Amino acid sequence: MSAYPLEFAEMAQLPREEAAALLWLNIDESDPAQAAVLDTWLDKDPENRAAWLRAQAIWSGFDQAGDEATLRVLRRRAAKASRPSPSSRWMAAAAVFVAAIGLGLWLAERPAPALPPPVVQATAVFGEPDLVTAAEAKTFDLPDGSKASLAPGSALDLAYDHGGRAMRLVRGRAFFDVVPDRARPFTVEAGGRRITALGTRFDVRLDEGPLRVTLVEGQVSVARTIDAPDGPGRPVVLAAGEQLTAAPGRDLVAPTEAASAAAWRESSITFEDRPLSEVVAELNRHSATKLVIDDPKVAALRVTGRFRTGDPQRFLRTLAQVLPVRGEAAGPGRYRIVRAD
Amino acid sequence: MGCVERKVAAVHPQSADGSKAAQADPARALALQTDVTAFFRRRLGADAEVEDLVQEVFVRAADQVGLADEAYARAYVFRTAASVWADRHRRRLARRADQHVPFDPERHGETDNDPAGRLDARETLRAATAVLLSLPERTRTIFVLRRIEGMTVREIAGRLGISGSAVEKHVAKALERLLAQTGDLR
Repeated sequence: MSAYPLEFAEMAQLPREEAAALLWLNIDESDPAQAAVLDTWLDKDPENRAAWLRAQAIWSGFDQAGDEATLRVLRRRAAKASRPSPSSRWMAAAAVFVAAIGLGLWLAERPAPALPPPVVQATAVFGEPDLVTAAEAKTFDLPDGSKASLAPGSALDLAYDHGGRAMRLVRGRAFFDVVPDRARPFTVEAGGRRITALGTRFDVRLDEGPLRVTLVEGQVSVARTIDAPDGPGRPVVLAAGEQLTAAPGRDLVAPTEAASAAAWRESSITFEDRPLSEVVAELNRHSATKLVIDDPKVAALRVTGRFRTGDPQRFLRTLAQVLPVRGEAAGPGRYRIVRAD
Repeated sequence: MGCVERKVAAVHPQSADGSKAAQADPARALALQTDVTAFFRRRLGADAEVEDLVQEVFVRAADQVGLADEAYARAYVFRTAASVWADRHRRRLARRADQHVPFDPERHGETDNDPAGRLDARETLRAATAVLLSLPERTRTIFVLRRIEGMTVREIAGRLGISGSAVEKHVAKALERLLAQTGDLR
């Protein structure tokens, strides 16, 4: 017994590929009645049988998925897109709250909005710093989907082109969360070193003494740039949990508490029954990506919860689960919060 | 073979202790044999090899065929049939890879699941991967979770906050596009 009883008459109406896919996915061949539906369709046209066998071949072909580099990337992305977010516990609590104030009903099975990431503009060559922070730390969405969090008083210069993702930390401190892309190496120049990363997370600081690089996850190599003030030296490969401190003769590598290198940029703010406009204004102070609200009814919605700063997309996803609103892209680096529907 | 696997996945009390190998009911065994034969004919046509494969299924599933729970026995036999079919496919790929036995496309059904007989498994996978990249992100995510990560429909639905039938629709849509477009790529 299939969850989707398929009728031959229905299948005969559908385009061949669609019918073949549905039959392959849903027919239980151990059930004679279903097998009969399948056989009627297969016998109707040799092309039908060919399509069904191909559906099977394509489906089985993914048994070898482990060897395909492209699929590894797709798997990682799918895992990321479906990771149960830590905010879900809060969302459950918020759902109760929203129901209590009469907006309820509304939580049922709504897909999270798929948002095109608003990104900062990046030139293809180094020049003036593209990203600068003053008194507040900010997190920026980079053009490739990676994130850069800058501590107060930092400056980052981007040079993105098709061959690579290059940037230069001019001053301050930055934390990078890098989206893997083998074809486009992600490099950060700072203090006479070039840090090359694949998918990884690391912290770079120039704000206290010599350059320090702390690797939280993945692997990076740190090489001297041609103009390193302390002369040439061998590249160093860092493992997760290690910190490199630049030194004239040979860079020092020592184990460190990597979590603290990531922690500086993570903060969250708790709101209790505040209007959405106020919540948004506060979150905007911590993010280069700005949220805007034009609709006064939306601005007046009350919000209770704890939100992580520097991740507006995540905030929008959470919000869409508990309030009748959604985010829509409104130009580079901007989202507008509008009523759902 | 998703449906068959789902059924059998729930551990059956009678299969656990293995002591219930009752006398096989001849009528039931015959019906099963007819249906398993149809399973392979669907894939191979009227090839002599079908008989060998059917026999292999009943040898492998011998201790389960006579179970008192007919639905369970049937599901078990069909799951065995699916794995016999998959093993045959793997054996043939291995032989072809070794080049010891030349591939003979003349015989009916000697297509390794590819009726056109032109794509080998790796090429099929590569073409399919290229098509996956062109799918809408959500459909692709769901297909990858279902087919490659092996997550259940319910699990995916829970993670993404959508209904099970929406998940099934995305999977079917993805397979449909794979079918329609891998053809273009060869």
